[in-house]
Parts: sequence; structure tokens; C-alpha cells
Amino acid sequence: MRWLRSARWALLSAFFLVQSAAVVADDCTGPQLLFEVAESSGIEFFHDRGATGGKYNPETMGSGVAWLDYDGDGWLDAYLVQSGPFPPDRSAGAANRLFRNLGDGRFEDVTTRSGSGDTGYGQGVVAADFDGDGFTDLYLANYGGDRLLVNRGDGTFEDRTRDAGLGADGWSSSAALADVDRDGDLDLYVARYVEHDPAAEPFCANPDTGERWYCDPSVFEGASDLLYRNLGHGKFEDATQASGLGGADGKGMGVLMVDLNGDRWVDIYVANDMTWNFLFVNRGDGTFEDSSLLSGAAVSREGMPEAGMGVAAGDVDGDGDADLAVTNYDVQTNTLYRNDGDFRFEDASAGSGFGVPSFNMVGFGLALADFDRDGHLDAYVANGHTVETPSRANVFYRQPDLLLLGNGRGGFTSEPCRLPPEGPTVSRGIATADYDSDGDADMAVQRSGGALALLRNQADVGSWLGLQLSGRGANTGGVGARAELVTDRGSQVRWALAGDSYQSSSDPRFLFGLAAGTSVKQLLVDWPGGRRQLLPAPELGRYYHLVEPE
Amino acid sequence: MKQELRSIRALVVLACLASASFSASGPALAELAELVPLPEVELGTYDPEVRAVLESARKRIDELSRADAVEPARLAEAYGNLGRAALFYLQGELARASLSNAATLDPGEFRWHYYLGSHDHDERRLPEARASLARALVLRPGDGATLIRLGRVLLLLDEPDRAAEAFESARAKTQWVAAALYGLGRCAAQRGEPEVAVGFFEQARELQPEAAEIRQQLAMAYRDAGKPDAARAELAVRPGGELIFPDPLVESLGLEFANSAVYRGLAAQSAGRLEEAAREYRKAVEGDPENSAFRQALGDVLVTLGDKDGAVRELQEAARLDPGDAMVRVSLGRALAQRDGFTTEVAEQFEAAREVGPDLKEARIGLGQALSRLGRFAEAVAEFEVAVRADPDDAAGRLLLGETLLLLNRNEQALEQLALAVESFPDRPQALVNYGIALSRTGNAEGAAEVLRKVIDGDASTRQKSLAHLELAETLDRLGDSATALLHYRSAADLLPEYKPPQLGLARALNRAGRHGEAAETYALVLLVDPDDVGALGERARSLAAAGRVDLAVTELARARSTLVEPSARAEIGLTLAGLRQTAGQHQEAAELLLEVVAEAPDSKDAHFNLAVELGRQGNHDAAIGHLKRVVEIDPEDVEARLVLAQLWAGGGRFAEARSTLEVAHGRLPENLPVARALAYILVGSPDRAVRDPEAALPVARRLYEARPAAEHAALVAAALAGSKRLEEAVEWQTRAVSEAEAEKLPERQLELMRKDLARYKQGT
Repeated sequence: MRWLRSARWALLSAFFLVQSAAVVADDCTGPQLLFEVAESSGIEFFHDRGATGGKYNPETMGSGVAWLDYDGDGWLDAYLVQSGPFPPDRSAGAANRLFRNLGDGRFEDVTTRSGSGDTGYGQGVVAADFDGDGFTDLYLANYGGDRLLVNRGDGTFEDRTRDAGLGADGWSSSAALADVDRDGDLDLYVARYVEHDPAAEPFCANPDTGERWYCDPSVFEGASDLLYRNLGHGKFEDATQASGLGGADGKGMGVLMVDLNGDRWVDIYVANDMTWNFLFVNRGDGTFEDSSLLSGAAVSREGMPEAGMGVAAGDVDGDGDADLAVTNYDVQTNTLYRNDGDFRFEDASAGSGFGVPSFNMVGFGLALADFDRDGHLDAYVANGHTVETPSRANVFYRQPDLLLLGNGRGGFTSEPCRLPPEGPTVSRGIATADYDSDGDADMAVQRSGGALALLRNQADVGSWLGLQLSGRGANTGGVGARAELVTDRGSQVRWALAGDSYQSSSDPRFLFGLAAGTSVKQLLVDWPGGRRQLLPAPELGRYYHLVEPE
Repeated sequence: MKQELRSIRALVVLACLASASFSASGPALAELAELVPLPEVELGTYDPEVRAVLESARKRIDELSRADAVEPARLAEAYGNLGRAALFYLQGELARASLSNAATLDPGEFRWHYYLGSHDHDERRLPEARASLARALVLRPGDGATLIRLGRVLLLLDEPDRAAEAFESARAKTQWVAAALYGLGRCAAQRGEPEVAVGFFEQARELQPEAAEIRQQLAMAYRDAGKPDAARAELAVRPGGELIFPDPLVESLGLEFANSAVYRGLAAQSAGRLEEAAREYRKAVEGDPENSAFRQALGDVLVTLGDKDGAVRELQEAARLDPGDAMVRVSLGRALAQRDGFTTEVAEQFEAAREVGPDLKEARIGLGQALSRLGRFAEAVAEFEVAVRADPDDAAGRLLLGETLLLLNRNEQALEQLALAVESFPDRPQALVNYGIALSRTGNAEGAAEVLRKVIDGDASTRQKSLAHLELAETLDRLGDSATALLHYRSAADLLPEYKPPQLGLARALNRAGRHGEAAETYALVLLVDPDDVGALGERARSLAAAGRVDLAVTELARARSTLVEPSARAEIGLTLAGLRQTAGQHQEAAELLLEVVAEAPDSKDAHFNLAVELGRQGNHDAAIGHLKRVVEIDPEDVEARLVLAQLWAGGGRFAEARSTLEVAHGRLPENLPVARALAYILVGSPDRAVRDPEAALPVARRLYEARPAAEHAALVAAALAGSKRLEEAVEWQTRAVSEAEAEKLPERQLELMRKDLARYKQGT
């Protein structure tokens, strides 16, 4: 009988068929900033989520994207993660793809000749120099076996997963790198989701129809995250237990590693799905302290765990420390945890304008960058529901992404009309990069079961300053460095991260936007090894290449 | 202005002023044009009851709006009712528009402002929520829920001082104390006063220790107050409860709609209390007799309760009220099918549903089922195909499609559909049985056996297990394992002794195993279930005869025939009885009986044929020829009749007619060896020389030999050659004939004749 449903039906089944506007302000303070150029750039990539009706949860996760200069020509190339059939079948040939930046706005597919086309069921990716040889490598967080693709330096990659002592099995989601023990090389953290076996997929019913449906994450046991210590020369060891992270079995989705209290020891922050987020404080002795709950950055203001997906860190309120932002499920709203120092965070979502626009959204990818070049960090949020027919009114599978323009004091305003005027999509992993090196933050957006979007920023206001680092040790990219640009209107601080957002890895360079008329006094760089470098009155409108001092 | 707005009292004053400005005399209807247009909401995906509630509320607004004079408050009530219903059913945009209009029309009514404010709060339209709640507070000063709501909104707006005033006011209300204290704590924390916050949160925790929200914020306040250990202790508790405070108006939505007859009916139905559901739906129908959805709901429940007449009555009325609702037609079709079976009228109802809603899968499925039951399988398949194209995930539809394709013997297509159905219903016996049949029919007997065994060993009904045993038995028969097959036939029959197919299957298997007596007993069981099954009666008689009990068989058949009235049934029994009498040597009785049968079934070619044989046996060739001609008329392909006819012509010396009959038969069935052989013989050796035609015989004889290189056929070739004066070849062929006859060890007399012919050919005679 069509209408013989549970009493909850009335509350659960109602939904509009017509699209409604998101809870966003209609007014924009400027013209459209980001323009979709994937087609004209030559990047043709369609994500295959492998959904064939089995309603396996991995089908809902999407995948990530990494920006890296794999061939050292100074132009950032795009590495796009593919998922493919599910249950995974490596022989099906659904491969990740590498697109080489030709420097004129166009890209060419070099997957085959670079040997980077892994065919695992891809989720996340992080790009950094794992072995300290000066070439950027790739770590692939997969469902069913991670991979380390080492850059040979000749434009090709080779799989050195086993040699490196890496390659977690199970369901990895995201990964990040930083020198957590300050021994000069990059250590690896892998956020893993849940224990999942497609052969033993439980039956979860759609409350409306009783048909098979995607299971709630609570059905599955969380998988333990992993911390690998870099032993040098491309070798790693599992340091999860030794570092005190053995109990990190949340349902990890996004991860970043950044120094949250200014002690120069990199801390770890993980967004977990329906379990509280992790904040592991680096004690400086090779171990971490779980300060998740006490920090206030683990749960909502109401004390409830949320469905954490993507993460980002940046100084959004101009006080010089890294605030944290997390994307969540609809109704929960995305969360902005303002860093009040000493690992104390305040949920500033409501009053800041950061949370409210996401009320009807399910957020995934998250990027903090100065998109409009006014000297303040903005936020780009990738949205899209996990189920095709959400039960709540005004909530849809395809959702518009959000561009929240920051005011530098921790406040944000949603300006949808500065995004491409295309329809709503199901976005997942995103990563920023100034791929055309014109001084503004462009964006790659992965769409679950859809075509990749390349959003070119055409900001024509203000000015900018870029910075590329070259470390002297094995951390050749200077991951973990802190840069502070001092101007007559205050300071801007950035951290060099390898891995953040959702399953993604952004431009390793620093990029500062500057409002028109801003006068720059100096640029300070704190290298992860402890050295400080000063660049007095740098010239605007160009990238500087700084080499770590002796 | 800015200064004034820092105070909650200022907010209230402002709201008072605003309210006064448009509540002084209420708006004239001429101002209704300023009302917010209600959004068009697609309700097609909603269940009929929800649709009915919303449409009914909206209809009320339309009626009042069309009236010449209507009190604004009355129209506001109508808008408010729609708004409340829309809130309850999560129709946010509709709720907002409706409540906004209600508040505009009747600005002095607290409820509309409160609902609007709380909805905006929930949807995070904070400035709007603040305005509405402030107006509500003017109309009902000191209302606890409004104060708490307003305080929370102000906190979200980062206005902790004004929020604190609201919470402070609510603190005086007993039921809202915990929420107020918690809110005050939040205000203090937001102002950067953690010690003050700790005090409020601790008081709130005392009142509601299970509220996770309070403990989380208390822990944060401890932390910020420099008490990390206390914070850790608080965090270690981690209760799972929520902060509770009364919100009577919002809670009343559930109660109100849950107390409506329709909702009560729906709830009762969902809980399986169908009689209660019917009572509630009936009340709804009495309240709104013109509402087709209410009648449909009632009709659907009545079907389930077995009140088929009542159901049909309600659904017919629903269809009359809303002839354009395809789902009502579907319900009516289902009710009629329940009451009367799948009649033509049922099919017509589903056709009407399809007409109105060509994309409605339920209409296609219902129509397909009706057509299938009416034996219109091909048309049924077409409907099912549309349904599964519309919803490829509809495994039940694929199952029906597969079953019907099996009925049409479109086995490969059936297999494809049933394989998909089984993917969705891996344990559903009905799907597995049909899948097994499809596998078996498409040659995968082992796969079929595996699937059917799964049904037998699984949790299937007795009938399904019986069917699985039956299909497995037939499959095993095809695999040559008759002994095991027989066991499954017996299991099938034992499980369903009153179901004929397994019993018949068992009886036939017993016959094949030579156990005719047991077969006859099994047929007797079939006849106990269905005494009019003349087929089973005949088969029992043959089993009895095979078991040597011809007399009993004859007696039973004669008795049965004497009681039958229907000519075709009498004829069927008569034919079997005549056969038994022939077997018993009672030719005269057989012939007389066959004459009766021919009269009863003038188109029965078996009756005519058997009678012709019996008449021929008696020497009455002309009469026999007449009946055989009738057989050939009825079935021109009946080779046996043509052969006997040719024999009778030849026996009567009418060789030309015999030749002609055989030539026609050979032309129709050139591969039929008996016909070709008879034709070759008559062409080479007819006593009537005018009929002989050895040259015409030669190709027939050659093809015979090619088809079967036997001595007899070589001799026919030789005779045709000799008749054509090709003696050397005739000698060669006759030599081969003799040689093969010796190898075949033919009787000496026949060999002798062949040798004589060989000698004649050698001599050229």
C-alpha cells in the first residue's frame, strides 16, 4: 500500500520538488569572482562514484584533488582522484588523472606517461615531498589500500608504498603531512573512516519506503587513524601507538596539521563524522595529548558531536593564531571555532555569519583564502547531500556551493552571486591554487558523480604578494612554515599546510591579497626548523622564492 | 535609536508601536492584495491524507477570499490553520507565507507572530525571528516560551545583553527556569565572564543533569575560568539528553494534527489497528463528504479489513468526486479485484487509471495483473514493461513481468527479468521458484536445481515449497534422474494434497516408472479434489488398464460418461472408453461408442480417426474413408490420417486416389519417411500400371536411401531404376540391397525375393 508508512512518515517524507534558494544574502558587494573554465582549459574529468543501487556508503563520499608542480616547471598541475566501481575493482581501469599545466590556461592529460593513474577506489590525496629529494610525491587515501606514488623527478611516478612501509588497508579518507617531531622530514597522518565490508553490508531501510538505503555512520565501527613517522630516505614507521594516538578511532573525514598555539610544534585536528572531532596537542616529545573535548573544538555549542567533513585552518579574526573551521551536515550548520589561545576554542558559528548560510546544506570541501583580495580570509564551502532524496524540506541532493567573504574580524557574509551562475551540484573535495599565477586564488571542485569544475578567479581589485619556499632539509617545501605579512592595516598570517579541506591538498605556496592602497612593511617567515627570515618592504604583484637560510 | 535598541524593553516598545500601527482597526479586505502570495507547492509526492489536509485548508482560504464580506480575523484563522499544517508537514515556505498573512490580517493575535518567529528562528532567519517574537511578546507579555526563544535568537545575533534580559524575565517562570539559567550562562560566557557563566550553568545542571548542552557549556566555562580539572570532570560525564523547556504552541501542532481524524486514522493504520483506522477515516469522511482522499483512505482500509463492498462503495464515490486522480482509480481497481477477482471491469478501472496517469507505475502494474489474469499475457507484458522502465528498481514489477513472460514461453526474456528480481529479493521464494523455472527452461537445469533447492531448504510457504519440489522434479527428469525426481514429485504432492498439479505430476511420474497401480491411486486423489477433471479420469483409466484392470477402468469411465452432460467432456471420456474397448477386443461396442462421440464432438479428429480405423477393420472402407477425409479437413498436417487413407484407397483397389493422397502428403511433409516409402512403393509397384511411375519414384527412393541407407530403400531405388530401363544401375543398387539385407539379417524369405529381383534385373527382364 503506497501510503501505509510509519507514523514518522509525515515528518520524514515531506520535501519540495522545486528548488529553493539557500539561506543566503541576495546582495553582493562586487561582481562575479569565480568563473568555470574546465572545458576551455582542457580538463575533462568525470567522477565515477560507482553507485549501482547497492547503496554502499563509499558511493556517497566523492573524492579529492591535489595541486602540485610535479615537473618543476613553476606551474601547478592538477591531480584528480577517481573512485570507480564499487565494490572496488582495480582491473576496471577507473584511474586517477594528472593534468599538466601548460602555462597558458590550458592543461594536458599526462596520466599515462607519468604513471600516476592509480586505479584504486580513490578518496583523498595529499601532495608533498615524502623522501626529501625535492620532487613532490603523492599519497592516495583509498578505500581498499592506500598508495604512495613517488616522483622520480623525470616526469614519472612509481609506486613505492610497500618499500616506504605505508599503504594502510581498509577505508582511508584523507591524509596530511607535517614534521610533527621536528626532525626535518615530513610525517604522515591518515584519517580513516569506518570499518566496512561490502560483502557484509547491513540492510538499512529508507524510513519512507522501507527500501535499501545508505546506512547511517552510526551503524559502523570507526576505523583507527594512523600516524606514520618519517625515518628518512623514504621509509616510514607506524607511530600511532607510540605517539599516544592509539585510541583515535573516530570516523575521520578531514584532517589538517598546524601549530595551534604558537609553540612551533605541529598539532593535529581531525573532523569526524558523528563522533567528536579530534584535537591532538603535540607535547613536543613525540607524543600527543587528546584535548579534543576540553578545547571546545570537538562538539557543537550544544555539546553534541556533529557530522564533520572538511576542515580548514586560518586566522580569520586577525589575532595571529589559527582558527578552525569544519563543514557539517544540514541543520547542524558549519562550525567556526575561534582560537582564543592556549587550545581554547569558542564556537563562533552563529554570530559570525559562518554557520547560518549552511543551515540547509551538507558541507564537504572547505577552503580559506582571500578570494576577493581585500586582505581578509574568505571561505569557499563545497556542498551536496549524501542521499538523493533527503527527507527534510528545503534540503536537496544538489546544492549550491557557498562563498563567504570574510571581514578580517571573524565575520562572514555569503555572496552567492560572486560564484558561477551554474545550477546546484554535489560537490566534495576542493583545493585552491593560483594555477595561472596571476595573484588570486583559483579553485578545483570535485563533484560526486559529476564533472570536475575548475573555477578561475578573475579578481581585478587590490593587489597581492606570493611566496614559494624551498627548505634546506628533507622538508623541501617548507611545510609547516608560518608567514606573516605586516602592513599599515595590520598583519596577515598564513601557514603552509600539506593536506586539508576534504580529501584534498591545496597550493603549497603562500598567497596574500591586499586591499587597494595597502602599504606593505615586511614579510616574516618562521621556518619549521625554527629559523626566522625577514623580507623588508617586498614588492607587490609577484611571487618571491625564499630559500631557507643556513 | 541605536541606544534604545540596546534594551529588551526598547525592543518591546518598538514592537508595540509597530503593532499599534496596523492593529488599530484591522486591514480592509481591499488591502488583501498586499498579502504574500502563497507558493505553489508540488504535493504529488505526498500521501493523500496530507494532501487532503493542506488542500482543504487552502480551499478554505480560497472560499473566504471569494466571499463578499469576510472578517479579517476569520481569514487570518484560515491562513493560520494552513500555516500550522504546513509547519507540521515541514512545508517551510508555505508555512511562512501563510503565517505571515495571518499575522498581517490579524496582528493582534499572538499565535501568528509566535509561530512565525519560532519558524524563522528554526530556519535561522534571525532578524525576522527577532521582530516576530518581539511582537508576540507585546501581545502576551511574560510568555515563557517567547522569552526563551527571543533570548536564543538574540544570542545568535551576538546580542548577549539583550538576550540576558529576556532570559532574566523567563527565569521567573517555573517551567522555564532551567532554560533561562542556561541562557544566562551563555550570555555571561559570550560576554567573557566565565565565572558568572559557571554559576548559571551549575544551577541549570542541577535542574537538568541529563542535558549535554548544559554540561558542555559548563565545562567550557570551567576551562575559561581556569579550572581545567573541573572541566575535564564535567566532560567525562557526557550525558545524551537535550535541554528541555516547554513550547506549548509548537507542541500543540503535533497534538492538534495528531488528533485530527485523518492523522489518528493514519497513526492507527501504521500501527496495524485497522478497525480503529477505519472508524477515524469514516469520521473524516463524515466531516468532509466531498473529500476524495478521505474516502480513498477509508476504502483502502476497508479492503484490508475484508469489507469489500464497503471499500468499493467508498472508492467509487472517491473516483466520482475526483475522476482525475489516477491513484483513486488504482485503489478502486484493487478493491474490485479483491471483491470480484480480476474481471474485465477491473481491467477497465486500471485502464482508466492509466489514461489519467500514464506515468503512474501502480496503474501499469494493476492493469498488467488484470490482463494477465484474463489471459491477455502479451498485453500484460507491455504494461509491466512500461512500469519497470519507469522504475527500473521495482523488483516486484520485474517479478510480475518475468512470471508473465514465462507464461508466454518467452523464457530468455523472463530469465533476464527474474534474475534482476532475484537480486533484490534473494530470499523471496516466489521469485526463486520462477527464476528456477526460467533457468530450467533455458537449459540451465543444474542452476535451476540449485535455486529450487534453496526454496525447499529455506523459509518458504508450503505452497511455494510444493511448487519448488514440482519444478525440481521436472528439472531432474530432464537431467535423467527419474528416481530422485519421483521423490520430489511425492514431496510436492504430500505438501499440497489438495493441489492438483503436484498430484498429477506424481501420477505421471509413477506411470513413467511403470508403477501404474500407484499412479491410478494418485489420480483417484486428484478426482477427490476435482471430480469433474475428465483428463485425470481418463489418465486414471489408462493407468488402470496398464495395471491390467481394464474392466475396472471401463466400468469407471462408463459410469462417469453416463453422469456427464457437457458434450465435449462426454466425448473426451467416450474416446478413452472406446480405446479401452478396442484394447479389450470389443470392436463393435467401440465403433458404436465412437459414433456417439463423433456426434458429440464433430470436430474431434481423434474421434473421427479412431472410428475410421474401427470401420476399416470391419471392412466398411467407404465410411472409414469419409471419416479420414474429415480428419484431413480438420488437420491437413495429419500424416497418419493420410497414410491410413491411402492404405484404404489402395485396399479398395483405388490406386490412383491412393497415389494422389500420398503425393499430397509427401508434398506437405517431404521428410516424413513412412509417407515417402508408401509413395515410392505405389509408384514402382502399383498393381494398376497406369498409376506406376518409376521415374517419379526414383528421386523419392534416392532421398529415402540418403535419409536411411537401408536394404529396403536400396531395393526401392533399384526397382525405380529397373522400371526406368536403367538395368545396369538397377543391378548395382539391387546388389547393394541384397548385401545390406544380409547385413541387416532380414528374414530369408525377404532375402530370397531380393535375390530374385537381382536375377531379373541381370537378365534384363
